[in-house]
Amino acid sequence: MAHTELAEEFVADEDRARWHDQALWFVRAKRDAAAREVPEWEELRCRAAAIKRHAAAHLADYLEQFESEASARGAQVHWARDAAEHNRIVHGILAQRGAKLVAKSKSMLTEECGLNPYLAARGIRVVDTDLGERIVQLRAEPPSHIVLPAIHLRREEVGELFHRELGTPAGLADPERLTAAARSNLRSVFLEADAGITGVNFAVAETGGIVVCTNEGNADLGTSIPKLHIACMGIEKIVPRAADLAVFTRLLARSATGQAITSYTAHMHGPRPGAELHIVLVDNGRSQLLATRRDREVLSCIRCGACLNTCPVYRRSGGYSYESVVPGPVGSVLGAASEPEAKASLPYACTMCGSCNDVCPVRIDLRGQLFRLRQDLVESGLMPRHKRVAARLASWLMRSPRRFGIAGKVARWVLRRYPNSSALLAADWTAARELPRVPERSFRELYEQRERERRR
Amino acid sequence: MPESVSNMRVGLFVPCYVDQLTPRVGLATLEVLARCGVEVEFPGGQTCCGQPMANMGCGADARALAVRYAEVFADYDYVVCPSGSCTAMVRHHYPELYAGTAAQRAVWSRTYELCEFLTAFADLDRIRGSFPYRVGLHRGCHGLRELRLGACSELVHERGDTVAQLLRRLDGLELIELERADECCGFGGTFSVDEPGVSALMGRDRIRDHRRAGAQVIASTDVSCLMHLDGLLRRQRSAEKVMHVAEILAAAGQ
Amino acid sequence: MTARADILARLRASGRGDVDLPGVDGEWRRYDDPRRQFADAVQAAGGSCVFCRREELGGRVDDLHSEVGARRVVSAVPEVDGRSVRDLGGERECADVELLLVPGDVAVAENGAIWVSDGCLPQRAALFLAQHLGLVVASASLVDTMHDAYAALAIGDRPYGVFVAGPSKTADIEQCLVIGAHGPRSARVFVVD
Ligand code: SF4
Repeated sequence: MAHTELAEEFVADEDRARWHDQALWFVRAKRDAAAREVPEWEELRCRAAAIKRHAAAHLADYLEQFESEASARGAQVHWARDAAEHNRIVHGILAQRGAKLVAKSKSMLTEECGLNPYLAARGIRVVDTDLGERIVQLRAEPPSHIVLPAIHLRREEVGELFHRELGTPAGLADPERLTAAARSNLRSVFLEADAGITGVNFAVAETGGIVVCTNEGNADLGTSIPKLHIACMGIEKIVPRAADLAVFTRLLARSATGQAITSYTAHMHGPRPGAELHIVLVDNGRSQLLATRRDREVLSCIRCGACLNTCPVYRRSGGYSYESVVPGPVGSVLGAASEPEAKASLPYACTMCGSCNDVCPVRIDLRGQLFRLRQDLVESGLMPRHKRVAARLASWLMRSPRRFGIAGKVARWVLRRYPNSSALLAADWTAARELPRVPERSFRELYEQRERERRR
Repeated sequence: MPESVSNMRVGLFVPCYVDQLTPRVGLATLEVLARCGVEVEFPGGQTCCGQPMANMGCGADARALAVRYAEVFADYDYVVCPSGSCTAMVRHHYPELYAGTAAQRAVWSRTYELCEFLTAFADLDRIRGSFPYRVGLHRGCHGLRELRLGACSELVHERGDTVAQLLRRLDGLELIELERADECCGFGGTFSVDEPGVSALMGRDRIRDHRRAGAQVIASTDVSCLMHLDGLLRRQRSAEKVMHVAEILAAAGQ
Repeated sequence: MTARADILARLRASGRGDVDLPGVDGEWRRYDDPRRQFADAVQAAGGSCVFCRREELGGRVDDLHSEVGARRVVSAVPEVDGRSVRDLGGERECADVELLLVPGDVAVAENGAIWVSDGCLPQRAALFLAQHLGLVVASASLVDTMHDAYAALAIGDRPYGVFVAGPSKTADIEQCLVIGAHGPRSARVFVVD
């Protein structure tokens, strides 16, 4: 379905849409306050952007360096061309060691690859351990936000879910007690899991290490008990130097939730003594984005979610209206750049307000990308015919001041003479608003008259 | 920056929808400029900057309009336009979409939004008068985040506020404080009819914010935002009025 | 072709571009009163912070014992009594720890984070399974920003190191902050002169 239709559905429940908007605006406001604590904020954003652009341009070299450093520290590095290969590799590692239960922490990459259903179909139970992810997993839903997976749910809905699934008392909707219930339920998973799977926030070429940021400590817990840790990462997660982490850890949590830093910023270099660490490097379309210099920029994304929180359309249309693993502005760019046909409506799910550009910690020109993607869609004939014709007609009219003047006159006359039929014709406008009151004479008519009088 | 605007030849670009739907904004622009000692000409060959087409993705169709624009305004030292988004189209998106010849790019880059132009070139002491109302300033997004006509709530830099500074010169005008200083109103060109529900909710939220702060007038540098907000206000039969900044400046001087 | 060769070849085919890697130095924030900033940041992260002299540490830690009512105390800090972490058995045994005391190498004023590495903690699971956490750090290791922190650390030297800022927490239900997600329910930092 197109974003248009799903968004209209979401917004039909106005109270809920407004509640969703306010919940996310609250996060945006916290982000603003946190950013203001850092006088050099804009300089940090410029550095981060440059580091990421540089790393993307030299990615092959940095990946090789990362691989050799990581291997020297005892990690095993795997390469996957696409989602299918990634899933096969992860399953192979697990199956070989007879793993049956996996404690997984948040990873947008494994969402992208559809790892959970793949493993489930092969008899491996994967438990998402991030609270928000656990909630949506129990509801058999995907996350609706890349940082706040259950932001679309009200506490009562979580209460009902936990009552059904975890046996909490009926009617319990207190976040503190619900969290406590999830905590005790998941403790046993952590203690009994055969393997831990995590995502990766940053991978350091210089040291061969991976960095994982969480607030709950679930990534650390999930990888400090079982003898097997599999870390899955997109190839764009590489930063050249350990010192670069300072720039990114200063930006990430502030942009994401308004915290100065996440509770845990774990650095893993090689496996725990007596355990195994496998790192799976996944391409899955990234090298293709990289090949087009224009699309390359979006690979700088550190998945902080700030552009979702600030997007006035995302806030009022919800994550599911994008039908993509990554929703919001960056999701629209990723989606339309890699699957233009299927995601043709996403670049239009935007008023071009540009707020995303200004919150993005790595300064991706999201607005500009969406604008250009619109041009691409039209060029490849993916715009509906009636719109295409309308745009051509408008351009033709505007090419001549005479035609424009006449068309304007006619339109104004129709609007004044037949307001009701005009309103009917413009139903998409008039469903919620009145048509503009039109004047008898245009500015150019008035100006000409004025000039004539002056000359006299 | 030229000390005197009296020797400059300044062209006025009136966006197509302002021309057809709100000529009073064009007249107010003339009036404010004249009061500041700037005589402008309105070359009749102008039409539309092509922004609506470009925003739909049909930028290629509008190439001829960018060329025409450069021709029409070739002989002017500056072009002034009472719209942030049309100015942004000309100055930022023309070169990006059409590259253009050096001469064309020069014309495009000499285009200024009205408040920007006044701040840069006019004798601001002539901006005065009284406007005894509580005014909420709705920031048009392109004027704000492309032309940087005000402080942007996302950025940490300290920035001047071109538009508010002009309004603050008027006696009795009280600029109200909004909860969301610069959120989009939801117009977004064709977005307003592609996703009418989301667009209208955004607009109603914007109105709520102004109402909560006690605004009597919602002001903006962009008629397009105001047309959308006005349509919503009239549907609600609300008392708040919308006015272009030029209209306020003109009315205050009367 | 292997996946590795394939991916690297594709990346190399797309050319390098010319963005220089920026330097690491900068005019980063300096605090007039880093101790105070640090204490505020720890608090903002949901933890608490105590400044004391080395000889007072024992007494301050005892205060924490009684505050959280911990009986099973494990210490990785030489000056602080408790069962030693070296005697902890397997990871699963860590689940019984009520209060864990660990030394930190660096404390960061801007965000209240403490660097803890597995050098002092053979069972890293204890850091997350313990119900309460006490972090002990020398006041001389207090730095202003993360830039200073990374400059002071060699992160690649140990298999595991982590910046810990306050107790574990979540806000995944309606953005309500809940302290004590999976890891410790409280965290106190002792900054020792
Ligand atoms: S595009 Fe920028 S703002 Fe959006 S999630 Fe990525 S890094 Fe964050």
